[in-house]
Amino acid sequence: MSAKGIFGFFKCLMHPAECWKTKKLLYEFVEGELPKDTQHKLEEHLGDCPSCLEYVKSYRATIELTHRHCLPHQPMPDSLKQKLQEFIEQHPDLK
Amino acid sequence: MSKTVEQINDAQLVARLKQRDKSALEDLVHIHGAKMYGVALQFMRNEYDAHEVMQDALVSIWNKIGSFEGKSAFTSWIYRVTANAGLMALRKRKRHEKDISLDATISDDDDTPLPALQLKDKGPLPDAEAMTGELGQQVRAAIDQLPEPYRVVVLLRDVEELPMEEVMEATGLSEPALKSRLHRARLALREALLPYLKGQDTQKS
Repeated sequence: MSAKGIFGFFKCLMHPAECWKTKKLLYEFVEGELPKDTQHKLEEHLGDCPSCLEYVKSYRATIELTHRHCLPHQPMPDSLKQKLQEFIEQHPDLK
Repeated sequence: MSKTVEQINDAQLVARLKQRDKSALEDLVHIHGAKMYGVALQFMRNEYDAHEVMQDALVSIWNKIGSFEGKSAFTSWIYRVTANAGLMALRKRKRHEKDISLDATISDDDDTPLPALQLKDKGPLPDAEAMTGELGQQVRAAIDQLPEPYRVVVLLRDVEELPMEEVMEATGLSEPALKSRLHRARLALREALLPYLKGQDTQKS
C-alpha cells in the first residue's frame, strides 16, 4: 500500500461514522438519489477512505456483472422452436 | 444515422406484426427466440416452464404490438414482455404451490443480510481468457441461489434494466420495499462474487 493509501486507511479508522454512513446510504449513493451536498460529502470521504471506495466499487461491479453475465448463452432447442411454430399456427389467441 | 441490419429487420417485423401478419411471429422467434428463451429460462429454471413463458410472451407481443410506439428498442420491449410473462408465471406457480404471494414470507424492513450464497469452489481463479466463461457461470449460479422474491427483482431491474416504476408495477412492491429488496440481493451477490470482482472495470466509479 502506498503512503497515501496507508494515510487513507488510518484516516478511515478515525472517521468510522463516515464509513457507517457510506454503507447506510450505499444504494441511494450508487443510484444517484442523494441530495447533492450529501452525495458530495460521501464522494469526499471515498477520496480519503480506500476501504469504502473499494466497497462502493465492488457494489457497482456486482450490478454490472449481473447485467452482463446473467443470461445463459445456450441455444433454444430445435424441438422448442418446432413447438412454438405449431403454437403460432394453431393457437386461437393468435388470429 | 444509418440503421443496422437488425434494426431494419426489427422495423419490418414491427410493421408486419401491426398488419397482423402471423408469419412475422415465426420470424421473431427465429431472430430473437434465443434471447427470449434465455430470459424465460432465467425466470423458470427449466425448459418446460420456459416454453410456456415464451408462448405467453408471444401472445402478449401479438396483442400489445399496437401499443409499441418505438420509444425504446424493439428488442428491449420484447425481452421486457418476456420478463413480465416470466414473473406472471412465477406468481401463478406460487399460488398453486402454497397459496401465498411472492412477498408473504419476507420482510423488507430489516437490514439483516441474506444467508450467504454458496458457490462451488473451483480452485484458483482461471486466466483471463477462461475467466469470462467461468464468471458467467458463477454469476448465474449466485443469482439462482437467491430466494425467489430477491431473484425476481434482480432479474427485472439489474438484468433487464426495467425502470423502477415498471418493476414496482410488475411486482406490486412499494418503492421502499423494492429498493430494500434489491439492495439486500445485491449485497448477497457481491459477497458471493467478491473473488471475481477485483479488477472488474466499472464505468461509473
